[in-house]
Amino acid sequence: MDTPIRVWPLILRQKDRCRVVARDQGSSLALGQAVPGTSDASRGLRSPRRGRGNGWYALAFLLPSLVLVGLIFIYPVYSLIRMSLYQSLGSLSLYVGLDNYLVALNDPLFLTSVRNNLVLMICVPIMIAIALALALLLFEQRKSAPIYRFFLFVPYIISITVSGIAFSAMLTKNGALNQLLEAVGLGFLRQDWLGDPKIALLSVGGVIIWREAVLGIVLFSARLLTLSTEPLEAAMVDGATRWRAHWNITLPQMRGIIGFYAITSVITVAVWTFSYVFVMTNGGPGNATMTADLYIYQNAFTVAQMNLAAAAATIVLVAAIAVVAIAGLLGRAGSRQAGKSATGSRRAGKSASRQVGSRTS
Amino acid sequence: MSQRPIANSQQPIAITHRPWRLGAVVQQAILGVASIVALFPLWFMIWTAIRDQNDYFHSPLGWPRTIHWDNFAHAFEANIGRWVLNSTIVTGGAVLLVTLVSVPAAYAFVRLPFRGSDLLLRLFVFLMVIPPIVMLLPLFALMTSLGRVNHFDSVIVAYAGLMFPFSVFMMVRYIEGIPNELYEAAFVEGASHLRILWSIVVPLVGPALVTLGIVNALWAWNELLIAVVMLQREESRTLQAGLALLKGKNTMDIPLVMAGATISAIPLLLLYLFGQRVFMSGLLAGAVKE
Repeated sequence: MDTPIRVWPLILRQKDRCRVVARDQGSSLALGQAVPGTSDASRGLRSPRRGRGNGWYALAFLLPSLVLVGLIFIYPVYSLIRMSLYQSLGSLSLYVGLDNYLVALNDPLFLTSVRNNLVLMICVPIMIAIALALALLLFEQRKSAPIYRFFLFVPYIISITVSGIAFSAMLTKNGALNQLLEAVGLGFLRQDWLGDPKIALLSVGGVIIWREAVLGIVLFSARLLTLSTEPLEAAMVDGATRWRAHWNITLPQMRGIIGFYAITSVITVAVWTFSYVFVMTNGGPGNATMTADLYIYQNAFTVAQMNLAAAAATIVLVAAIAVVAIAGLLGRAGSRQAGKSATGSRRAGKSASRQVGSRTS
Repeated sequence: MSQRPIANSQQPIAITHRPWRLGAVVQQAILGVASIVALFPLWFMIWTAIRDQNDYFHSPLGWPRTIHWDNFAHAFEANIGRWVLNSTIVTGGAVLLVTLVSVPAAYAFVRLPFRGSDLLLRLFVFLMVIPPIVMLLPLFALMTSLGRVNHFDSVIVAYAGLMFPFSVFMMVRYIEGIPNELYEAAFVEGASHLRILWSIVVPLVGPALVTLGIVNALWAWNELLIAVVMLQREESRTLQAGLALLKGKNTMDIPLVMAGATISAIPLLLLYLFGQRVFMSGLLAGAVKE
């Protein structure tokens, strides 16, 4: 992919040259790794052809998307921030500065909902662990993997609404889960899963794990298939157990995709929990499962506190952007480190296997 | 791998192929249990949908005393047929709209770069992280003032907008993969950009368009928040919104609600059953989305 860039500047005018190079760097987008089917090799060359009227073409091709983005993203965000700075009284609108933010930040319910979102964060490491374990098992049991994979992906096909409905019936006091526990002699674990304020949030978290771990399995399975098996085999030949080899060799190579999955999961539990709680508990019992997006929804559409809701939504927006920005910085730092020890993984694999080997000998 | 570590290892090869510490049986068992956990709610849903209320309360897990198909009939009486139709219209419309918008945009980003086009693409992709709850209030206010609440077009446009960042991102990646020679040949023939887009790009990225369509359709079909807010009349609800509210209304008649849920899950399960491979690639591509 280097060659074309080096050749083309000889042919192109100065102005176009900059553009080709710039685009080439730009094409390595932050979220880029997971889309299959594009080869890096074919990307170096890009339209050198800039006839007259291309600008108009570009505008015409982009116009619908500019309108759409303006309508669905730009205008609403602008309008949201405006709304959060005003207080509506009937048809009257009063500028109140940051008052709505102060009200939100002093509202115990908002703080509870934010706290609940933070508690739900414990789902993320659990999801990663479960997804990794299952992806590795699928990788190891290659022969029977297709049938298990078929079953394991089902939670992701069914909508959150439908599975939420099923779970809320299963998790009642006399529901299927408790009956099942009785039947297998674990009756002492009986709980009012969604009715007890102490554990309702954790039950919701369990359902989130049940569904969202599937995404991790998909991602990790795909990544596992792209890894070279040689270092693994080398370690095995050297006497490492398979788990040990996976731990020392496979896992370090999956750092990137695990990080990506961790970020998407953090965003999911931070700001996309609405469907789960709306269907299963609607924030109850009490406010034990109130989350930030349900708080915004209820303030906006059931108690008609639009301005307060707008302030809370702006806070959520800032939080979402902050998560991505922090993740981006961490990712950049991580990849720089990985770049430094580019040859490291094989070396690490070898030394690990040697270590294990020497222990067994 | 010429210098395998075996070279400096002292032990005989015979014992180096160590068996799994966690035997294959245990692994199969874990996968089996995980599969049961994954499928249990689905089984429970269908199991409950075919029995009557008393039977369910008597023993939710036991064998049904009689198979009771009435629940499905009742679910259709509760407007569920209408909701299926609404969901189909909304999903189809949104998928079509976002495809029509994002493919030319992606072409422009790849083939017609201009000053700042990179920045614009990055901005578009970045929009992926903004959760819909943020846009919902102003959008609702806007649609109210335009009189579009309870009309499908408001939801179609909102869905298309929310699916756009991922769609344009994915299409850019695919269109970038088309070899340059094809364009050059078309240019020599004197084809216009519109012509190239339609006759070269669209056929070449056809499979990607199918994948994209599936990801987007799965998302739109399953979306709840916007549907609940924008479509408030009983007969204009989508399936998910209708089900969520049906559940709220019939807290006692669980078999009825389960029948509704089963009906709504069947189309996707059938698609999954017969098009598993396309679904897989769709899920994988969709991974970037959420």
